[in-house]
Amino acid sequence: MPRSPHDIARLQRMDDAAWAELQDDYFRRIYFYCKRYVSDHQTAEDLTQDVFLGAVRGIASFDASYTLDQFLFGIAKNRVIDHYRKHRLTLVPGVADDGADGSQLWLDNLAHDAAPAPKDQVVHKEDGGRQRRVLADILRQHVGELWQAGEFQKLMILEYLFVLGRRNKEAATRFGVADEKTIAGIKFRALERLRGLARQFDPNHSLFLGLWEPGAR
Amino acid sequence: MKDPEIDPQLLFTVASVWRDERISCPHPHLLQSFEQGALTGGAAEFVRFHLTESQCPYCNAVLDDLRAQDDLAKAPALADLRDRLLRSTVAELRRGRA
Repeated sequence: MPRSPHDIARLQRMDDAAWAELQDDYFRRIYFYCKRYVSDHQTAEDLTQDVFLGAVRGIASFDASYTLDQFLFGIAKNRVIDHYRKHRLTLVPGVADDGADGSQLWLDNLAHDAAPAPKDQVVHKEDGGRQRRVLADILRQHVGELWQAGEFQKLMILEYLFVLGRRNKEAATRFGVADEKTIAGIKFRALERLRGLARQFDPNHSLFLGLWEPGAR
Repeated sequence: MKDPEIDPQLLFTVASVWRDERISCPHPHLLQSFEQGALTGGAAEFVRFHLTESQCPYCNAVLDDLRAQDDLAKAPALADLRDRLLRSTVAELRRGRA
C-alpha cells in the first residue's frame, strides 16, 4: 500500500487545510464504502460525515503503525456496524462454523494445525501488535510472489479459503478441481511458505513461539 | 475463562489481517484497467473474483468512485456532500482547538 501524502502532525494540530486535503482525498471512497452497506444516499452521507468527525476526535491518539487509510476505513467500518446495531439489522450472514472455518485461522495455526481456538489464546499487547504487522508483511510477500508468478488461481483459492472461510471441498467445486486433496495441497504449501517467512521475520524466536517448539513443522 | 489482560483487538485472524491490511487488493490503477476492459487473463479473473465473490469493500468503493466520476449526473450530489463535510469538520476542528 503506498504511503499517505498526508501529514499526521498537521492533522493532529487541527490544521484546517490539512483536513480539507485529507477529506478531498478520501470522502468519495468513504462515501462509496458506506453506500455499499446502506440502501440510501442520505444514510451514506450521514455515515461519511460521522467518519470524518470521528477522525478529527481520534487523530490525537493515531497509532503510527497503521496507515491513514486503515484509520479512516476502520472508523467507517465501525460506523457501519454501529448503524446496523442501532437499527437491529444483520450486517453479514454468518458462515457456519464447526471449528474448521478457514477464516478463524490464527497465528498459531501457522505452527500447529491443532492449535487452540483464538479465544483461548493469550498474547501480550506489544507482541500482538508486532505479530499482526509481521503477519501482514508475510501474507503480502506471499501474495506478491503468487501475483508475480501469475498464479492467479492459487491466489483466488487462498483468498477463498482464508478470507471467505470456505472449506476445501467447496473450493474444489468452485474452482473446478477434481480432487479436494489438490486444494488441501495448495493450502498446505501456502502455510509452509508462510511458516518459512514467519521464521525469517522472527530470528530471535520471540514472536511466533509455536514455530520454534520441538516437532513444529 | 476470560483473561483481563487480553486486548480484544489481538484476537485477529488471518482473515481479518488479510482484509484490513488489503493484502490482495489490486492497485487502483489495475482496478481502472479492469473497469476499462484492458486487464486480461488470470489477472482479470482474479480482480473479478476479488470484487464480486470476495466482495472486497475497499476495492468496490474505489471502483464505485471511478464509475461515479465517469457519470456526471452523480457529480453534483457528491459536490454537496463535500461542502457539508467541510462545514461539519471545520466546526469540529474549532471545538478541538478550543
